[in-house]
Amino acid sequence: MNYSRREFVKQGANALIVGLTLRNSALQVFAVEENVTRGVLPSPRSVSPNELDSWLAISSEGNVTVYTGRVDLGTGVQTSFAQVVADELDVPFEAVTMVMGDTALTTDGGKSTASSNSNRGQQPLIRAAAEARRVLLAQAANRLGAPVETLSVQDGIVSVQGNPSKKISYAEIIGNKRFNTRLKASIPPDNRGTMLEGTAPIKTGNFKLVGKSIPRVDVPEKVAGTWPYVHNVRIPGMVHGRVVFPSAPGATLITIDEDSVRGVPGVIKVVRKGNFVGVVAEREEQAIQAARQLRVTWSEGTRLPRDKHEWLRNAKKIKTEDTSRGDVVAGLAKAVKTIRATYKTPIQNHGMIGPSCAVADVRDGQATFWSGSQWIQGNRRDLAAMLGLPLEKVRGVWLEASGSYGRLACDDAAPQAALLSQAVGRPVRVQWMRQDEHAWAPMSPPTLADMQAGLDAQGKITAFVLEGWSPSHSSGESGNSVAWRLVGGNPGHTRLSGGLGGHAYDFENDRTTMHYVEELLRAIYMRGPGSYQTCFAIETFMDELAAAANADPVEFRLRHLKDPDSIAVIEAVAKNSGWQTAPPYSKKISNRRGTATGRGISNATTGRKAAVVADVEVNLETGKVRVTKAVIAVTCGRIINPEGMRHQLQGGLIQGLSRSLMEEIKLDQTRVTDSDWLSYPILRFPEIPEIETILIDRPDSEPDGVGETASIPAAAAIGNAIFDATGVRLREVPFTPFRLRQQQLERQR
Amino acid sequence: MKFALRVNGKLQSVDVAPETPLLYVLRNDLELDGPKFGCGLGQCGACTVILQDQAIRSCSMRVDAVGRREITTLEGIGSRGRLHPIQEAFVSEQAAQCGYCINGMIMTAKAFLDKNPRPAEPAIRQALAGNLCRCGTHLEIIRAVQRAAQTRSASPSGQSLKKRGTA
Repeated sequence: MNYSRREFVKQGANALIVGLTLRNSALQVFAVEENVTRGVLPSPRSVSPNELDSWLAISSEGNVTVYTGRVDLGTGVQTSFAQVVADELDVPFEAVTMVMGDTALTTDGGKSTASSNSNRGQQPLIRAAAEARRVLLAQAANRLGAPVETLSVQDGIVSVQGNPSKKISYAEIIGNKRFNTRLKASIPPDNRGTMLEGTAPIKTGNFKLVGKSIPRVDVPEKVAGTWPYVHNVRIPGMVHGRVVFPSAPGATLITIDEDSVRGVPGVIKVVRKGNFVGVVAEREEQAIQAARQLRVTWSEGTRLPRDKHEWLRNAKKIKTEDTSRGDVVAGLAKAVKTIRATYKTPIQNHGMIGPSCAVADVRDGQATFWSGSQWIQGNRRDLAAMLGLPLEKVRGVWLEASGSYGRLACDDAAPQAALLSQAVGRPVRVQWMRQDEHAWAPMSPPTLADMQAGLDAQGKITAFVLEGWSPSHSSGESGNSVAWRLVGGNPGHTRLSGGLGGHAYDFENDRTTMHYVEELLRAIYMRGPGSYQTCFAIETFMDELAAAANADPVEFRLRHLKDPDSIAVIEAVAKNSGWQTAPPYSKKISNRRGTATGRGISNATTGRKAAVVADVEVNLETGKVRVTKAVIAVTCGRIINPEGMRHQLQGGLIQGLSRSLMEEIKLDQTRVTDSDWLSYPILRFPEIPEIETILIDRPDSEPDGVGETASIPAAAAIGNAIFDATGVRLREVPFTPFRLRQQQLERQR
Repeated sequence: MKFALRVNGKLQSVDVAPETPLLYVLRNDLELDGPKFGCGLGQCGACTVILQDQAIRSCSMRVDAVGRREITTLEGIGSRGRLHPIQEAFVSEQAAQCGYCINGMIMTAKAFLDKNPRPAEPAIRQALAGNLCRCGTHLEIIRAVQRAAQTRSASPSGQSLKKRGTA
């Protein structure tokens, strides 16, 4: 199939959509890609979500173009979206082209996330395809003089069953013409994505493409170096900007000494707007030099806490949410044993390999920007409001960035590029430096969870209590980009997200109290926001309870579960890992030259169900932990692309292992002190374990995304394995050698 | 200052400050998008190119230090229509998610395999230890490098990984 940038769409005077599909020669394909990365954009088209034509068009050659505001974050949805649409329409996979994330061409599909793209992102595309098929079949019935019920479709050709010579193609019916069909779109206020309603039946079985491991359409160009990343945008007259960030969060600008960059060649302008400071130069390295050399004095910033978890407990509360079932006080009173523990997770950085980057061209009362944003329409609204431009004068064009894992839910580079472009009247490209991305990106916030549970004499949980503290995981989203905050007058972002709590267990008495507290540092969703932290607390606590009940951790979980999917994934990992039934840290393990081995299980629930068994090897001298093998099982409804899913699970698990073993953003009392990959290391090739993935297909239930699913159970699986190996219980992520040694020494006392 | 660079078999002339990192010259002056900016510190490997037969970090090499040495970028080992066997192996193993690090993985693997045609799996991991991937595509990348090595040893000349004319 072709992908978005290969389609050059023009809207003629008669409002017909003319799709000129350049698919024949590689040379032509590159010409079109170059047009986009060089700033030549297709003419705008109607993007009303209530029009079928806004979602889908069929050319006179039978090529299908699908328009969506959802974008591919490197997870492969432009392949899987094309798969489901091709299947629904009964056209070949190669006939479908995805156009993604251009505010002048696509409707607002809501924020793109790896967990929602395959359900909420996909829903309107399937619905639009089904409606298109309904319209096409009705017209075919008319033209062929046969009732709709007697028609069948194969490869875009409608024929009469039993009389295959009576046939007509989709292209003949509608080629280059509009459907002119109204649909009902519902757009939720929480920006989770447009859903479409309609009357056409939707396939629930007999799939031809769904369930097949179709190779990703982007990989060949990614390995050839020709994929149009946002970092490659190069438009005529473009110059380079760099942002000069404050000395610390909360610091305000006192003075700028422009003389300090007088000698730097190529400098066009030092830009100041409120507390926003940037430089623009002819060449990239000149902008970098000027940003480094510019002398700026800042006020002192916000005082940051010495102990962020103590801070969480005492921080100003924004909201407390309380959910309960049964009576935990009575449940605890019945217990023969009561267990308490506190779990802490750190501030973590998304760690995009390619830093934030965007290009903006703000001139003559209008703006165009190219961004890797996960929500190009949200970025567009912010940018228009910040610049004081009418929304219709702003166009946002998405191009893929580095994998963002939530970080680009609000792209910070685009508004910065826009401010600089506005100041110099030329297109400006902004790219963050590595230290900016480590210190100034919105982060995954720290969390604290106090857990308490009672066990009866039979080893059943009588009450389960979680009290959690965390800032919202989305304070850095729309209305709160770093540039707009520095300029001032931004509305902020008040939606609360990522609260702790949630599991699949069937506890009689169960209570969760979640305190959302004020912002510590700007925060944004990171692969399983809140779920990763919740799962660490609950699943480690379950292991502690199993140990207290002298029970096997697998059996102990199963005795508290009724949910069939949770049971299925746990049983699958137990079976494939060759789980040996025994309470944690009860097996006599042979210690080979100062190492101990152990194994732990963890089970995650976030709509999707996942379970992981991790094997670890702990160096008892150094405290270093190596995960040697992991087995993961997942259910996520109907599987669209099994290999694509497997890659997501492996990737998510590896990222989860990395976060759990080594990742923690460090602060001094004024600012983030991490600035690069040495101060904030991530897992490297020699440390990657063998991974076995078990995909449990549920063909009768709707598909769901798995981008987050595998990261979530990682921490508890490793922590439980460390306990199994050493008897040391780690209740704070990450499990650094220092923490492990410290706990070992404490135990020996 | 003018520099004559030998890039992908062609002589290219650029006029830049001598301390300019090679990466910016390749990307901004020669419009070669294969090498990527990741950290500018030589820590992640996204900017890797091959200098003569060594995989180097183009973000940390000054343009005036290149001299007459031949530079090979991702574009120089294969193209969309004619992928290099290592690139083909990456497609076969679907060894890319966001793909931002992949230039570095392929270029590092190329320089490594040219010197170590039949590497054991741990040696591949060690060769790539300085290249960071955040999507967690490591296992697919390892398999792609293994596959490329097998393709090479299976080919009669044993030269299939050598680029026509360069390296």
